[in-house]
Amino acid sequence: MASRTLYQALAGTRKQLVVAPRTWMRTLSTAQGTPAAPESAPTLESLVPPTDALKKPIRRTINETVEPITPYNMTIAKLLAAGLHLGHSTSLWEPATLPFIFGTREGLSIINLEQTLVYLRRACNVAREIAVRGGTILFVGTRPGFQDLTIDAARQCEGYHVSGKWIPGTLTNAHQVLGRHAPPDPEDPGRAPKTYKPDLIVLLNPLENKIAISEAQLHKIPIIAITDTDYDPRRVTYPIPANDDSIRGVELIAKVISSAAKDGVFRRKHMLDQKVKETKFNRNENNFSRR
Amino acid sequence: MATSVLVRRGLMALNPARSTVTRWAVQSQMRASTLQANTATTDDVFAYREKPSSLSYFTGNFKYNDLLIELDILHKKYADWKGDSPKIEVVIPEASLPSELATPKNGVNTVEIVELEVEPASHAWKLREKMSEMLGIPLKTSQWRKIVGQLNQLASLPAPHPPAVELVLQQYSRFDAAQQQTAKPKTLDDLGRAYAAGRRKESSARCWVVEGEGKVLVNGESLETYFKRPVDRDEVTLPLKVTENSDKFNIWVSVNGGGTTGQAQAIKLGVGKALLTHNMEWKPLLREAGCITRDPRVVERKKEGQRKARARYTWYVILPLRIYEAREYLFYYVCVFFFSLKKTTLGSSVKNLYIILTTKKIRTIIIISSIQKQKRTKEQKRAMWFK
Repeated sequence: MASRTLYQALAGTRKQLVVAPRTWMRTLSTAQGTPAAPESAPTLESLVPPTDALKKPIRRTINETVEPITPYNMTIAKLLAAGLHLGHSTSLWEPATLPFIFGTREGLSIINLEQTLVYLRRACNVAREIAVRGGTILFVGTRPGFQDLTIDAARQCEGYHVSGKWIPGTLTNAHQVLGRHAPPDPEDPGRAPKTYKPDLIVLLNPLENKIAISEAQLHKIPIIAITDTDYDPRRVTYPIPANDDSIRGVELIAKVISSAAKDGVFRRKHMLDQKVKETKFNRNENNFSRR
Repeated sequence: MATSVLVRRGLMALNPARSTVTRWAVQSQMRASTLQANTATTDDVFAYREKPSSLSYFTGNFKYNDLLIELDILHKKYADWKGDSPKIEVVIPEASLPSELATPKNGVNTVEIVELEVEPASHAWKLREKMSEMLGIPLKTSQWRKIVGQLNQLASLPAPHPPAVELVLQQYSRFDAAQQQTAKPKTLDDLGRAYAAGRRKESSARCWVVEGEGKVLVNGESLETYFKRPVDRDEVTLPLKVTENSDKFNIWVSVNGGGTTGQAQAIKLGVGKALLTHNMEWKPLLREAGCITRDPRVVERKKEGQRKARARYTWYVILPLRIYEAREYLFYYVCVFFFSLKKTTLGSSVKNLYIILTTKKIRTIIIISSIQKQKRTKEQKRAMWFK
């Protein structure tokens, strides 16, 4: 129950959403080279990271050596630390997101992280089961800051990525879009090469990828998407109500889903190995019985 | 696991695992996938499913994207590389406050990546066409620029580069860059002379500049005797004057071709280039004075149909005349008519005979468009002639 008490301590009552003190936030956030919190009141100089830390771009915003990121380790505290509860301005909200909104604070809608956790777990289960059945998982993150994290997430779970532009017609005009650069068949060079479709799409910014969503709907491909308070969650199959603007938050969600999918891939390999062993065992047994 | 009662209840209510399994088992059979056979057994789950080989298959341009990813991985792997002499100058931008809770955002992206400025690498990479040929994919200029950006990033690691990086960089560097670097720098010869050649219009000057008192010899003669005009003399001594070396260098010049001004300016160029061999620091002074740039202006050729390079003949008149009207003109220029009649290529058929009459003085061209053979009686013809 530690996370709940922590959440309550942070939240206070429903009316008062207390902003966590900066020193506490910094110890939880694990950027490289962050200095220890000073005991006196935090000054601007103490908040500025030292020059050594600035010589490199901050590539790993979530330090995995401290605690690995898996769906089983996910807590509301972690989601809060990544800033996933911050929705958009109340004047820009989508009324269909009402069930997911905890309240408003300083003109922003605050997303209910309990709901986020539930939907995130569901999405992880979907990803895992699809991976167990050998499905292709496609991570789509088209914002400029999302490129690295999309590619990493895809690589970890033997999936695929679209981190630049989603080319309209990737699914509906696959023959032309995907078949163009694909290597021709070794047996029949004249024929157009075979094209593939994903079995699951994980969209990190559905607001900018309307075309991808409509194409997936045409081909009955399920979509997991991070839906913010300005996006109708009913448009995707498995929404995850969370903040889509924070790179750290999106990286957390992408990593969680990717680790679940990796788990599924591992299970599939394990079960396939088991099957092979079983058939070998049965064959040997039959041989023995014959004698 | 630290989960609240509420969360657990929510999970149980949704019951995701069971429902998704059954849903997916059915859907995977219903969907028209590329290779799977339509059987209803549970063993179908473990059937082999063919997948695309490249990570970036769905981007539409997988070779290019895979290349970028590969270069990025290489850069990340050696991000901490420290060579013998680190040459990177770091420009530290303003630090961004780590906590997002403090600053309310209104639909604005908060990018947390800190960017640093690195001095540009002076490496010569393969050009777009050669690179696309090498990679086997058509490259647009923007794509080539992105690849070159990544290569520059890799090349900007402190030297000496790690072997893996060196291998990659070698593949993409331009061949002739190495040849350019082997050009040997110009030095003074064993007598302390700097040699340079200068050209202008049809003149070429060979100049030797050596430390001395300020004497100038052109083709064995002194400056005053060779160049009668003070303008030309000033041009010859301009490089020395501009760098305040009027009495510090002797010049010996052998010049031929062209006229006075051309020769003077050729000498100016030669002396300027020779002075650079003595001291590179005078380059900005000489460049501002115009002593280093070879003046490319030469005499323009004459073009056919024009009087000179640019001057054209006076404008001409085309009068479509019947031949009976042109008889007055023909009367005057009858010999020229016969001459040009022989020359016309269009005058093969009688119907479309073009007769071009020209005069020496005013270059008037009269083109008779057609010859109409009118059947006239003898009386009519006589009347015409004696009108």
